[in-house]
Amino acid sequence: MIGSIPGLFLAATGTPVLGCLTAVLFRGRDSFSRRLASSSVIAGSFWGLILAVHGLFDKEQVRFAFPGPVPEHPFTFLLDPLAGLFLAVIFGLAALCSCYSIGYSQHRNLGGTQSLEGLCFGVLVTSMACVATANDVITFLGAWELMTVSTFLMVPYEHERPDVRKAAYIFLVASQLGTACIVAAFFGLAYHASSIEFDAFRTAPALPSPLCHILFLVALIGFGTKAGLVPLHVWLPLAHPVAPSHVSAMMSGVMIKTALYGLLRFMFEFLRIPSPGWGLFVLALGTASALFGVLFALLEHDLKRLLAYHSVENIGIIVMGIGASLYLSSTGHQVAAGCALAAGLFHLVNHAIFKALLFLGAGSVQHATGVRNLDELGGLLRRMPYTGLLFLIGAMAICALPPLNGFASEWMTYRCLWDVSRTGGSWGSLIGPISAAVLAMVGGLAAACFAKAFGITFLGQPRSVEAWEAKEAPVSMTAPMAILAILCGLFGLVPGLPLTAISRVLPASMAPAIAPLSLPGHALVLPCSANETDGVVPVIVLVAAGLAVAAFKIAWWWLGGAPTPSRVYQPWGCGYPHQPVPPLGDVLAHESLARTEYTATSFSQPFAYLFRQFFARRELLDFFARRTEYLPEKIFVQVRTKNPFDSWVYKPMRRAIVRLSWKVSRIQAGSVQLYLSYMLVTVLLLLLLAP
Amino acid sequence: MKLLFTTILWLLHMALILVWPLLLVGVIRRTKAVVTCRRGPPLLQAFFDLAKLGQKGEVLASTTTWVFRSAPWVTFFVVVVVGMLVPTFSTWAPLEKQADLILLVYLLGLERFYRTIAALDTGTSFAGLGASRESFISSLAEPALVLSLWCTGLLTGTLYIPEMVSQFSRRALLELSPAYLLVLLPLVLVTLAENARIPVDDPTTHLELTMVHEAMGLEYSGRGLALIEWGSMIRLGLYFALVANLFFPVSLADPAGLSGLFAGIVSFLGRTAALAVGVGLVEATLARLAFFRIADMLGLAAALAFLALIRVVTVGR
Repeated sequence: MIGSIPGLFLAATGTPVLGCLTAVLFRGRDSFSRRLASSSVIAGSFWGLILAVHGLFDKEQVRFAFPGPVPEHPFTFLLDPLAGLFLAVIFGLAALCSCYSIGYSQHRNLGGTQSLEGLCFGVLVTSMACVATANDVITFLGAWELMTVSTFLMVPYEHERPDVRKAAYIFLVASQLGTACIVAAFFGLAYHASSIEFDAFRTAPALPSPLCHILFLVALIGFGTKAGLVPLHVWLPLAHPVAPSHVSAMMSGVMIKTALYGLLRFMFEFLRIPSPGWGLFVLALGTASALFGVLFALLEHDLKRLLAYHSVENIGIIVMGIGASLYLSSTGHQVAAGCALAAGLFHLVNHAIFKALLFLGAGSVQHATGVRNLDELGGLLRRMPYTGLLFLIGAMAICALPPLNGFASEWMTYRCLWDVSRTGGSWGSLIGPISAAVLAMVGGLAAACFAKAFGITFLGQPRSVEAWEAKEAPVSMTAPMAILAILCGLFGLVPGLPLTAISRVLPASMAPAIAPLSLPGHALVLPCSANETDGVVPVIVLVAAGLAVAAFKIAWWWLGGAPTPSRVYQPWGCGYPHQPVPPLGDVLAHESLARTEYTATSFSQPFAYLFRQFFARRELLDFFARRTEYLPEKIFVQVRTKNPFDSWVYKPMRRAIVRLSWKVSRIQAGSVQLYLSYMLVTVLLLLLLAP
Repeated sequence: MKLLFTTILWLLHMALILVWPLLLVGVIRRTKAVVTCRRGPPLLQAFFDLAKLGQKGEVLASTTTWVFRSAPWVTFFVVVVVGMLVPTFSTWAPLEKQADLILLVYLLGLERFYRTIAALDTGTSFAGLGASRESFISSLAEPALVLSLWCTGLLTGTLYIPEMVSQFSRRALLELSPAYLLVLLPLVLVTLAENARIPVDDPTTHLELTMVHEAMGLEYSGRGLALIEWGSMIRLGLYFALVANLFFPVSLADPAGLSGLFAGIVSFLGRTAALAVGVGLVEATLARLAFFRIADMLGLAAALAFLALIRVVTVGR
């Protein structure tokens, strides 16, 4: 039974849920229950990955159905390469995050809800797999809602804190608003095709012009909310940081990308939009997301919220590739469009890898110190050497630094922007270069941001007692991170490997784009636009060789082989006679030493000052001193920044909705007779209007 | 025979990348000294400095980890790799097949990122200050750099730098378009900003509160310091080579034969030395900008590149 595709699907989606249900029964035995839940998710993921390989590489697509409550409408599923790619990401990360949760949850005080959290995790994995394979509206929306609800239940695990409850609530509301838009878009499609099957949408004649554009806009709002595109991103930086870290990794790594999955299906299969204007609009939207995401991240001092803002940035970069692809395909450059879509999908896979790595790293830091504020961390590289090294690899990958995977996909994104600026009309040739310049700035700002995130957290001296006493995370937490870090390196050095799979996803008309990849001799070459097939890989290999030499030197020093004559001495302290390093226990003396260190706040101060108009930044500085003294006793500093989208977009919107509700409430006077007469009028109207 | 020829090209190129920048720095210093009526250090002073530092032992700050100790090696190596992407005396570069501008910009980004975290590793305020300011300046310089190189790419129809250079070298100087000149200025401004020259940063200052680039390397000594200094000189030479070859591609050697080799080398040395004199004059006559005015300057660079872009898009050259 397992040999067939439906059997594999049942095994992959059923095992996590059943295993986690069993774990709930054994909730009295904490350690056993946790291990059972994790291993069932890992087992399900094993089947899921086999299923993904089938989906990606099988010659024909497989359709299957399971009977549901309504006899003539079974739940239908489709396994095609696009579904296969998403299944690979979903199940790959699920296995690693689940393994991580064994160690991570050990010391969290959850008050007996631990097994329920495990159950929600299992349901989340299953529902995401169903979203990626659903082949009719009801199945898709059912799985979509299940995904939202199971995530919502996991987010507020520190539910005693009011801000956590509020974040979870905002997440739920934003998701539901997004879902409402998605439902509307699906109804429009179903009305046109007079069916709820996705296959009917695909074969239906093209939609008439205004309906097509309206449906696309509605779908873009719906999926954009879930994906966290600016300006619909408000829920994302609130909900991601408060969830447990392995859940944050799943949310940021995969869950928000199911929205992009939906968007891709809409764009290229259901609506088949022919207008280049939408392509440029989506490209501009992605560019704006990338820029604003990184600007907010730069000012953030909460490690996990910083990472959440970087999800906004990277979703933007993915959407840039998708938008460029839409533009290029609608202007008739199918090969370049294929490259652009491959760039977007490649960045999607890469972002799943390094963002999960970074969230797990942040989780390990929080696990070891209980602190997420960067200004209270520091010096963790000495205390947590493996976590630190792995976090550094993730940070370099997300900054798109060669030779890691982030660079490979951003390089392809630049390539598709080059195509946009060269092939299109005047708008394309203007927006293409501007997007490239913005992407360059985003790269610079992201590098600054992660130099801050890594440097302040792991380097220098500890800024708090908690950071002093940090201990390395257990192997069950570092091992999944190590696997992700290896993937970062592998996909950067051998981009042909993931791209062979991604090339299977491209629509048949765009397929020649990555054709060189299927030849064994070119397996190492990145695909390029049109006829340029010289990749950047050899240089990347050179850099990798250099880094390997450096790694060897590091390992040498680490093992105790000292470099030739060198002395260890205090760092330069402005000419003051040096103070001896206080002993480990003497925290007070140590704090005075660490207090002069640069903090995350000071690191990002120039950026905050430059963009002060944008952030509505206010600095409040008070000196408390007696009149007779020159030196103040106390200095009080308060820095406030505002989210401009909140004050420009959401507040006016909220106010308008409240005002509208007051007006509407007049017809809702509370008397039963009035309501009955409404119903009567409605029925009469319907009877009159009915054909 | 072909192998021998390629080897000679490689050796000449690497010599120009590794050694010539030390003399360029000497030229800048000498120009500054002459303009301000001083005698100045000998032209070869940079060689003496590096030789002296290379022989000395290192003093490591007690707060540092392997990040700090590996940084000189990593950054030096990356800069040398970038040196293989930029053509010098001819339209050829050792890794010309890979030398697209995105790789160039991101490799320089890798080098800067590593220097930044190495500075944060010391845990001192000065290094942190330098790290913060350097990332601020360079992240603002990045869009101007990419946009201006993107424009030269649109003018020549390629993203590969050696290809751009060979396209430009085949055009007569009189054919120059306004777009071409509009791109030159942003690139020069970015060169000044990224290499810590006046008016962005003063390479000679050691006053703690005004240092940017120097502050990041404050804790280095001995061999580490030598590598850091050498690396930043090579970076300066690379930017000079880029500007000289993209905008003044005079008598470049033909990579296929030995014919113009000598003339090409002499021309390259002359053009970069002229740029060095120019930078020396700028340094001797201009004052440093206030820190937040640097953002205005780089904004101006990006705006000029944008004007060039509009010209390229609308007129085509």
